Amino acid sequence: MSAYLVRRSAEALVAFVIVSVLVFALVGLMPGDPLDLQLKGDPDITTADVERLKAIYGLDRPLWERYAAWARGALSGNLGFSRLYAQPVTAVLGDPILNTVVLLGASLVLGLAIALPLAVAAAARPGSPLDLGINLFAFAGFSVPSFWLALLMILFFAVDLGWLPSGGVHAIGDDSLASRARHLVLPALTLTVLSTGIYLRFARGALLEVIGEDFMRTARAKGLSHIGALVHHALPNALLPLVTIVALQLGTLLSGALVVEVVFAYRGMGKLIFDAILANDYNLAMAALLLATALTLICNVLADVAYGWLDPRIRYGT
Amino acid sequence: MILAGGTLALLAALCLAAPLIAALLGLDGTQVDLLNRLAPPGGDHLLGTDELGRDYLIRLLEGGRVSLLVGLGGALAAGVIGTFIGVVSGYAGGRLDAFLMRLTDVVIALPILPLLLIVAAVDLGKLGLATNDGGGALRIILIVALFGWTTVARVARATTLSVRRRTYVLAAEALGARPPRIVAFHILPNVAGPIIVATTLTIGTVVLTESVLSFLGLGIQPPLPSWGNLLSGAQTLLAQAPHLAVLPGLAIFITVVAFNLLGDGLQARLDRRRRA
Repeated sequence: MSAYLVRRSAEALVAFVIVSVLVFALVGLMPGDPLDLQLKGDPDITTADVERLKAIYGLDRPLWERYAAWARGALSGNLGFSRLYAQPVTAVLGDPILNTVVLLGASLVLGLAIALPLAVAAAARPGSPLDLGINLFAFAGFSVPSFWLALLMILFFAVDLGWLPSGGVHAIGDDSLASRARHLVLPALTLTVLSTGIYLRFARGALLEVIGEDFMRTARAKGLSHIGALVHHALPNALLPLVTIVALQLGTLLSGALVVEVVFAYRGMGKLIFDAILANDYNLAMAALLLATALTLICNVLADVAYGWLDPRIRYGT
Repeated sequence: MILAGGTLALLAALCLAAPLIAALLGLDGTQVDLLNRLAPPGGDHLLGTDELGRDYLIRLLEGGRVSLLVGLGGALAAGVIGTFIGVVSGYAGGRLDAFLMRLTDVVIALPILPLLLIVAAVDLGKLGLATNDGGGALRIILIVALFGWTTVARVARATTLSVRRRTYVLAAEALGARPPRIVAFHILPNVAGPIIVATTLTIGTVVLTESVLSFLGLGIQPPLPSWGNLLSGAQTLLAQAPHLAVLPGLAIFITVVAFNLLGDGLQARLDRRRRA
């Protein structure tokens, strides 16, 4: 088990380093480097000045040297300076991380709270109209364009009905919990609709797989109702593969969160990454992207480990 | 499934015929009419006009051409990459297989969209490559394929494994055929079905990805319309002209649902045939 954990962590680490090298190279290829703006803003600047500035910023050195310098800094906690916010990157990241974790958490809880009962209802009578209807709902969930759903939510709940705010993390000058909660409803709801379909389909499939097992017949024989047996005996077994699915979906969920955050102007990691890319904020884009990558890789390793821990039948080969 | 296929065929035919329809209606998708901006659906313009007074039906159909083209092209490219990786992985086995499958797992787990954004933002001029290809359809096809191959790769590997030890493959090996020949003549024809299904399911994902990228301004560039970038123009006009936002999204939604239903239907048919 611990050997397995070590091997998986090592793999995740290698993957992370490779992604970081690629992202570093790509970020450097975005239009405009930190000097381009200065060039445009200052007509008196000379070629010699540019060369001098390039040397100061290290932009004249080859890619791998720049990467090494960046990595050394990052490991000692120095992620550089954000041009967009005129603050150290580490100071900019805090709030958005929290906001995104809140958004993802809310939509995950809500999504599972919707998906599990519906999956049980669908699996109770496979092929029934109810099952078909629930399937269709799941289908719609992962076929709908995220940004369109977000726009429709704004159109309906914010513009037409005027019930909820159309964007932001909290009202200006009102950083209360109530204001934050009101601003969270629409983004979280949108993200939930997008992700529930996947959970629903997997939960239904997993339920149908265990429904033919011996212990299900035993449960029925000792007098449990069909639904009772599903909830108390099939569901706990079906939840196991769902742990993996939820973790595997984290990358997708983050992608969905990016769009939702951009449309709702919700200041989370996704919007931060988007803004940083549009503004050519190298350091911020780099740090935020890698943070999101690290988060998903770590969650995947954790899910693998949790899977073995929750299901003693699984033995890992070393 | 027939319904899904029919819907898609109709949609594709309409989009392909966009210039023809425009000519028949005496309209031009690029004709700006500033006195007639944001007209609601009905009247001269069946689906109203956009923020520059262009006929929205024509814009929508022309956007559909681009979106469907990118969807098909991207899925095809992803299918080719995925088939290659999957078949090599399944046929070679051993360390190469283990490596390729770990790679696939990692790509699946990554937060794709943020990474796609940075790839899409890359300035090809810095690499010394020409950047002039109209609205960037080819570029988006390649970018989307870069991350979209994983589903096909997994399916291709699984089916390759299932035919790898069949007697006809062993017979070909015994006769001294080289691996490329075996893969091309004995494996590929027998794994094609599931791969086609997986590729069909990928089309929906690709259409969604393209539309998101275009919506965020890093995909297809205006004035070339796509369903995604039509929506990004509509976002700021949500309150004045909601139809501008509703229609392209609806088109994407219908397309993706139809491709997914088609893929599911093909899958079910394939399963039934295999069991029979």
